[in-house]
Amino acid sequence: MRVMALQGLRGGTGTTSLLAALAESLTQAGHSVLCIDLDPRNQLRLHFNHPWQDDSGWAIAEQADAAWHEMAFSLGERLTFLPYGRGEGIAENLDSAWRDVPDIWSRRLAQLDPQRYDWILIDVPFDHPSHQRQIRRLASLWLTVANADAACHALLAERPVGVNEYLLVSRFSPRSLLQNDLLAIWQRQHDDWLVPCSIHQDEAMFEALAHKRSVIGHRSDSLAARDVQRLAAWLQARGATP
Amino acid sequence: MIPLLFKPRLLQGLRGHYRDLRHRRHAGPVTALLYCTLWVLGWTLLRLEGPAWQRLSLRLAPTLRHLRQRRPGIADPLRYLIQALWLILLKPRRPEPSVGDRDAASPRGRTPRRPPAPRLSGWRRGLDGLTRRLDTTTLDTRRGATGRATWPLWAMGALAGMMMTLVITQPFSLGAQAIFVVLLAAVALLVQRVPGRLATLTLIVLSVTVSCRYLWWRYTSTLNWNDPLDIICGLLLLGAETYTWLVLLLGYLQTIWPLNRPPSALPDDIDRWPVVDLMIPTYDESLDVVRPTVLAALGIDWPHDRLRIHLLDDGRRPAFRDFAESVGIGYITRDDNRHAKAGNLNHALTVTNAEFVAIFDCDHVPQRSFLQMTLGWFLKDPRLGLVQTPHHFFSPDPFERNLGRFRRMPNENTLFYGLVQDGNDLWNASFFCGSCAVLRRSALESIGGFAVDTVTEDAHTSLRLHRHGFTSAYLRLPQAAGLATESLSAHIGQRIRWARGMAQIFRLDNPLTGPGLNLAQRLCYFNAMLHFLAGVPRLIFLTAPLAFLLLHAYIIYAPAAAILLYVIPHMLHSGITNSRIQGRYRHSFWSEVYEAVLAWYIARPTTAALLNPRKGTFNVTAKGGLIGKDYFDWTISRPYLLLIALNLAGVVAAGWRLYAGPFDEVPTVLVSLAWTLYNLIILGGAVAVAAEARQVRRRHRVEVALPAAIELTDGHAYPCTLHDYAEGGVGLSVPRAGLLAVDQKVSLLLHRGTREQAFEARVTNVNGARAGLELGAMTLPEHIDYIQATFARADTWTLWRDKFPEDRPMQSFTDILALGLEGYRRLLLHAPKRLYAPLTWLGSFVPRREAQRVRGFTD
Repeated sequence: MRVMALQGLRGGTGTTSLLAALAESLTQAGHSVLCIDLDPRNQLRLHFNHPWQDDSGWAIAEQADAAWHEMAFSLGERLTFLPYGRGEGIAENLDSAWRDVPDIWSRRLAQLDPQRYDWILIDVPFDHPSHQRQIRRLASLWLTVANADAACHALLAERPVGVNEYLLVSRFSPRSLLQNDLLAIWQRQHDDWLVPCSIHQDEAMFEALAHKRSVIGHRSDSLAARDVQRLAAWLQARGATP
Repeated sequence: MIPLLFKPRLLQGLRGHYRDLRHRRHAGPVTALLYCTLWVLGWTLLRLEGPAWQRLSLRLAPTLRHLRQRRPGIADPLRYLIQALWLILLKPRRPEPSVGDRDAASPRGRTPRRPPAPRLSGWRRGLDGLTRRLDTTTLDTRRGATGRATWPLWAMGALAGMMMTLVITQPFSLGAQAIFVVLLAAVALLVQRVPGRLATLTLIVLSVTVSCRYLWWRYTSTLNWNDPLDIICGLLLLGAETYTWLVLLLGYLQTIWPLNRPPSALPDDIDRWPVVDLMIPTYDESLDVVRPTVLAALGIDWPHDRLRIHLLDDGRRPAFRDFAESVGIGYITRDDNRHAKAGNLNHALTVTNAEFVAIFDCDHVPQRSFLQMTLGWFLKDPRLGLVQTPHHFFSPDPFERNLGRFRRMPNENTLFYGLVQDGNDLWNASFFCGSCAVLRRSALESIGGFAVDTVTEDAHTSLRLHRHGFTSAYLRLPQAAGLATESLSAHIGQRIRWARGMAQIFRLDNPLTGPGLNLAQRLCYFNAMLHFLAGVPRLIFLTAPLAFLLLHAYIIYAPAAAILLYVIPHMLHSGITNSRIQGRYRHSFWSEVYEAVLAWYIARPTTAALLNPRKGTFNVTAKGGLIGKDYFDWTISRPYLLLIALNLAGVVAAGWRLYAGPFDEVPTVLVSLAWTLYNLIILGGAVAVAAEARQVRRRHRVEVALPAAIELTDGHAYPCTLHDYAEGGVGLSVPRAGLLAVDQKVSLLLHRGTREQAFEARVTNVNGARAGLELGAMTLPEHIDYIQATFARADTWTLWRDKFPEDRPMQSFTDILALGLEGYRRLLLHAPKRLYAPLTWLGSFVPRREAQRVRGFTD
């Protein structure tokens, strides 16, 4: 069981789409995957063709003192996803409830049968430190997703790098001189934690969400899908175990 | 006594070994002593610690287990021998399930697990694998060999020399000779399978012995001095054979130990990297050919303030001056064109001043690593005057194109750049080839610049460098690639120039005499020149059997059985040995075809140049041309047609002699007939090359298979595979048909190392999933990036060389046979109707089988 967190360096870097695609790619490679949405925006479910009206999720269950894992949905044999759920003020409640217990999620995942899932992918919001803290100590691999632009460059400059943390460039467009230059700088400055395969800018990635699917299911022959497959292969080769 | 001979560590090992035998394995004292002696002998004579032997011993261990477990006895060597013979001759058919696992477990087990070849037993497969790995000999092994005292070597050499003389000159009866050659052949066939340099050297010794014996026999017992025709023809043939023998021996010397020199590292401090003038001489080539070279040179990884690129334009064309100005490189012209390329370079030397001069023909695209790879050795060795790298071609040469064998086997120049130059390097005799090289300016100045006396200024320049005590180095790493000559006639024209130049050097500045060279250098240069004198001897070989069949001259005045007993071993041993030495660089029998094609054309100019070296003009090798449609070059194949006609007459004469001649001549006729048929096959191959295949594109498309990507204007992006590239466009295939439409604008995304660049392009043609793209206008940096991502990339051509299948002489002979027949087929296809008609008319008489006729009818 490998636990991997994905977190955008800032909002709108395409992290959730990437997580959905990565989950499907790993599933296709024969792994069983559990995706957990830890982002109060509750967007991940939309990539898995979940009905918009369904507000259920683990956070709602937690409010109602129900079992967190009963809110999971499975897609086929290998892919399971756990939505956050939608409700007024839930995230704020959790922020305060979790203040003194940073290992709730560690304990939860420890309850799982370690043989059941090969991968657990967690979508971590960039703007909820309490949520992030929960995952920090339990993820064996941490992917920080950035776009090659000046904002991310500035954010990277003052950011400490954690153990087992990797920087992934998504929405990369080689046509942009700025992106090309920034990537070249990052290849030098962040050489030790930059993932060697980037995800290209590709319309198929945006279309995928409009079709409520991941890019792998939507356009498997697109460049973005190929990039995600490469990333999945790279992750498998890393063989990161806790 | 013993402590004097061996180092203490060895002695300790020996003692341990002895104790182990005596006490743990309970061997008797005599047996243990015998074992220890064998152990010492083995470790002294063979490099048993090398990876090849280690793997072999791992593989053999299970088959020898029953012997290792019993108590060692005095007759054990015999047991091992029998077991080994049994393994070799009656190899067990059982599969070896553990081979793959052991591969993975061995320290060097990085070889991917191959599916077992069905024809080879595990043991043989092991040997094959080992042999392939043995080319990793480095400088260290050589140093180890020369560091010791040399007098025992001299003594052994003298003894061996005396014994060799005895073996070569001793006359044998036919029966004795038969036994002798069978024994030697058996040894050679066994040794051939053993890995390592020692086995190669053994093969060389056997081959030299047999060939010397053959030549000795030819000189002493096969000339008939009583008949003037016999003696004239006989001496001509003997002269040709002596030439071949000399080239064979010198070839062994030249390639006995290819150096495989690695590049030397540059200092970490970039400020200490030297300044380089990179010169690109051009005369009448088009800008399309020159542009990629210049742009690739601009992309070379070297501090910008230390690299000065100059375009040396002897054509003095305004377009070139504008181009040079637009990309910011030097543009050098002169008032006259004296001494062609050498003069051009010499003039450029007067107006530049960097310490090192790199030279590229205008169609050789340098790789970005070129200077970093080559300049290290200059800093290490202050007397180093020249570093040469291979000429590599990304378009097929006429042989490859016309025979459809591009990248399916080593091409014509692979032997020279893969092996000969590397072998020369051992003797400090690798020479300058005119391009893809770096020279030291001070060295050049001390010999008065590039040599202008001959038409091959390159070899002559390096000969002078060597004479002045400078050294040379060869790096067997393709660091540039260029266009091969277009047509067979252009190829022949180029070779005529080289042959003439070499013959000129031979006369004007003979490497065998004159100051400054050591013996090995003299012999290496001598062999390089001899190589180009192959024309006349080859013509003699192609006509020799006719002397008997047509003129009834006994050119080899000996019984047919004796001829076979001497000739066949001579050919067999040189074949086996050369296949082992050269197999990776040239497949067996192909030299014959290459030489046959050139023979007629270089015979005259070399002879003329030998007689009058000062005559002769410089002809530029034509490149970048077009061949509009398939055609047969009748002009160039005229001499082969004549030779074919003569040999056919020989075949007819042989038939007549068999029918009407005396009975005791039959064996001689048969031998001559076999020779004539062989000649006809080789000539057929030469003719096949003359059928020129179509070549329609002006800009060469280099075939590759590279991952790339395209981005469409609607934002969709797709991975694709690049199939070919050229200066102005690429061909690629996308994941599915229908993605691209003609005239659509796309961005092509290409990788260059870790960088990725986008290039604007337009779709020009679509065929299913495949499409052709035309690149849009590029800025200078973009253009440099494009050249770097395509022509100048390091990975497309460095891998090619070692991918060729290994030489298998019998397979190679079948290929040549098929090629010869193909030549005659093409001859008929292209023959004028007048010639063709009577043949079809004759063909109509040929009886045919029923089935064939019916099939032809329904078709």
